[in-house]
Amino acid sequence: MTQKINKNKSNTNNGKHLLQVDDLNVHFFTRRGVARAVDGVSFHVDEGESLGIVGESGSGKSVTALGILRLVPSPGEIVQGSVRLDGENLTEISGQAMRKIRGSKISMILQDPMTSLNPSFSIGEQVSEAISIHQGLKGKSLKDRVVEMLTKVRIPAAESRVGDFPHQLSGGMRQRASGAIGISCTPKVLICDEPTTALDMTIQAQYLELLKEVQKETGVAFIFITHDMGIVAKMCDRVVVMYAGRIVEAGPVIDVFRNPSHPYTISLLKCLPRLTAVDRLESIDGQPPDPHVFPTGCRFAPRCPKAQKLCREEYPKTTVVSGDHINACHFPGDWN
Amino acid sequence: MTRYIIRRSIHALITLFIVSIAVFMIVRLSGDPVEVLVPDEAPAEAYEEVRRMLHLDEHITVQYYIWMSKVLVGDFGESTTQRIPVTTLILERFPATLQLTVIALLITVFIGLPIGVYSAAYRGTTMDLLARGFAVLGQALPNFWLGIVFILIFAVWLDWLPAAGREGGFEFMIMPAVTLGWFPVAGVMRLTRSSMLEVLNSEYVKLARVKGVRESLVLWKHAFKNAALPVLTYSALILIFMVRGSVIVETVFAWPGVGRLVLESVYNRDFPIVQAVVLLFASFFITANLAVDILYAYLNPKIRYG
Amino acid sequence: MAIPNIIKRLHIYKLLPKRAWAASESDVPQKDAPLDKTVAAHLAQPWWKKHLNFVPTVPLFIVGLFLFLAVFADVVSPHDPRESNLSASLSPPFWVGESSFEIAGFSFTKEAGTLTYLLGTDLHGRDIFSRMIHGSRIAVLVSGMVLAIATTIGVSLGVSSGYFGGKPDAIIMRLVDIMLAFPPLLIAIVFSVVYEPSFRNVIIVISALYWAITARQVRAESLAVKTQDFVTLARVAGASHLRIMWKHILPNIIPTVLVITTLQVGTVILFEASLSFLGVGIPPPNPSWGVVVSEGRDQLSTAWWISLFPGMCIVVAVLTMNTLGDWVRDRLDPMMQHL
Repeated sequence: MTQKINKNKSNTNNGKHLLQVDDLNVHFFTRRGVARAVDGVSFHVDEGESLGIVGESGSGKSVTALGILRLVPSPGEIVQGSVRLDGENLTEISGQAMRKIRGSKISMILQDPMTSLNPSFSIGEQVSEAISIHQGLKGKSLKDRVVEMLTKVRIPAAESRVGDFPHQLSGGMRQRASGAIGISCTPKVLICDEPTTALDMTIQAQYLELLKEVQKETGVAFIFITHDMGIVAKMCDRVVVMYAGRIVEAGPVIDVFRNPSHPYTISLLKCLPRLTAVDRLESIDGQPPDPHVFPTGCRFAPRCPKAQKLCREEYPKTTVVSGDHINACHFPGDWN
Repeated sequence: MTRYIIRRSIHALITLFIVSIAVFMIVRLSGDPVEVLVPDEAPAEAYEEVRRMLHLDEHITVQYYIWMSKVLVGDFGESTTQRIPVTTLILERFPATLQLTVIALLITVFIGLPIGVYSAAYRGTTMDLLARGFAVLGQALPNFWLGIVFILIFAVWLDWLPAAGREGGFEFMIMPAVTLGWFPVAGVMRLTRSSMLEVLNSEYVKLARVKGVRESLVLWKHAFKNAALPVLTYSALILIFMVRGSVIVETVFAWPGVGRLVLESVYNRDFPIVQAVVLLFASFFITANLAVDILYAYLNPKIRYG
Repeated sequence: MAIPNIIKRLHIYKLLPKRAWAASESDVPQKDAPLDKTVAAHLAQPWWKKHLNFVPTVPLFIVGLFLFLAVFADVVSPHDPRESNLSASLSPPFWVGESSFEIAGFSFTKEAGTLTYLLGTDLHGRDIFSRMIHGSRIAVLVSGMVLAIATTIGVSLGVSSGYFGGKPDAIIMRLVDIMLAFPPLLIAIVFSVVYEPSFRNVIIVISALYWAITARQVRAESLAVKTQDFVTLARVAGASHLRIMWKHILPNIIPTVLVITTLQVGTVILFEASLSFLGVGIPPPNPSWGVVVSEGRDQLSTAWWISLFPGMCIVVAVLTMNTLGDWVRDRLDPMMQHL
């Protein structure tokens, strides 16, 4: 079963999006069975815009990112679907061709810079690697470009820090170095996996500002993968809400935040701490379902405050709320 | 890092010192060496004479001091059975053992490591299963039996290779070297594989792939460099094993090396040789351990630049 | 299923089938989930693969066999291992037929193998098969006793070292370093010269060399356990050092000790066999496997069976114990890969 966002409505002239994901299915073939981590997901990203993919851990959002890059670890496989970058279907091209695209046209900043930076190499070496592979620079011009990137992410005295090792840098610096690796080849799409989870509160804001500036300068499209609605609100133009491997709600951020229709989205928004509220913080009861055995019917039904008999029997069809705003629910809307 | 090295070196020296005392004491325990040297019919004064010559009338610490000072200049005394300086004997046999050990080491590094790496990279395939099976088997085989089986197959039944000795040529070397290297290869393979598997799952390897790095580079430049550290510390154990193994392998293949020398000396109760060899081997281990520690410190940026 | 308290307390409950202790439902594979084609195809695995996950049936069976042979060796073996029968000297295994060969014009016939002496005999006419069976008794005894002694000493010293720290720790660890600095084989060889090789001496020598390995690992674990809160609590409650070590630290290191011990059985068997082979271990005519292999060396070209079969016993025993050790380690804590 698929959910199609109307492909023809977009800001670009000929109806083509920069990145178009259609009916992506990523399944993991484990000893216990088949885990359908991503179960029919479609969305698109245009140049210069920021898309947010929101969900709890286990919703399939990180796997979606890996699927786009064709880096799904075994025993996972992309069983179905297409990922088109500038019209080219990435799921069909050769491994070598995909490698050329990775790091240069699409790149990713991983979640924890402490573990994603190789402890045996200096940050200069790590930033220079992608550049030397994709742009073929060597020697002095390579070093200059590296320093340029490090400066762009606001690492002070970049020239002198080129030889530093990851464990010599502070957390914030490491995150920026990670960012430098991501933008080093000026990609068209940059995926940021949980960009601020590893950072202190004070550094988070700075880092997000930095990302915004980079976007303004280079026109890169961001895909933010996060469980934090706050980041979505601050950074994204459009948002996609994932639950149990499928999209339950999607649309422009303004619309979805002002008018959330799927109970899961509503619950997520309710969980955000607000300045005015004095009561206890809300949380959603229960756990996401095991991807090996999804329940029949709507997958959120076991935890949904509005669930009814129909919800447990039939998976909801995608309906349009307004314009680009869609959801997949039998009984959308708030329950109070 | 220099502080670390100094600390480890002092530690090693102290251990070495204590080991030398232990070696010294052990042999002293075996009984009166004078009995062995002097024929039964000799008059009492002969005993006294020999006793004084060997300084056995003096306090034990003095004896130790005398012995130690001679050792440090390379004088281990004379063999009781052959009347040749021990040092000469050892030096004579040493190249043979060295030859075997070096070849076995080369086999270990150039076969064990790559198989471990590729076994991890192609996890679950037939090649991986075969390699793992071989490794498991390899660690269970007693090397003396393996040597005997090789001799049975290649020398007795097939008559392709000579059964023993070290006359010259490659064909004499190959069986002992392979026998000696068998266990270390298995160990290195397993360790490399598990170390690589851990590293291949890490975030920074993922990032390397995200950057578009070629898979072979990911494997060797990114993964292996980090995976190699535990294997390095294991290499000290390998050296130790080679030394122990050489005693057995040299015996089975009648290879004229130091290992066999020590065994023969033990049978003949030729203590100076035994003392010397044990001390040498122990110092070798301790030095090897120290060298590995230093190498590890050098390669691990956290300690080097920490 | 109720798990006996002692198993829970020693943290070895993980050796039991998962059904007994798995907390959440999702750990146990669900049987009634609706399947589509890909899933069904994937789940159709051979039954033996599924079974392998819980119990290592084959290794356990083999260990049981060895134990049985060790205990009932006298009853099971067809002949007395020391009984020599010169007329049947160098008889080959039962499947080998007669063969003849010529030397200097004279023709000799080699006798065929008989069923009386299943795997052949050695130079003295002793039955190899019986010797192998009695060899397992020696292997079991040696490894059992060595590990009992080495583990006891290693654990006591290791726990004390880790728990008390400071001077006792430094001394004990220095001792451990020294023990580990000695080339084990050489020391054993030297010892055998000073003291005549015998069963008792072999045990002493091997134990002396093996306790250090256990001690070092146990010390590391004790250090980790010592810092945990329940130890501090016990201290606050006024428990004596001995009580804390016995009741709190010891049970937590049992998994590690179990893993080390099972993994070491194989090494001990190999070591003893090597010593016996060289003539500095269990003295002949005791039928330790190593001894029989060395006895066969002189007859290698004519009587290959003497060396071959006992060696196979060693391989099987060590292989089995290693596999068992790996399984124990994987079940108790897959994190302990470094052991």
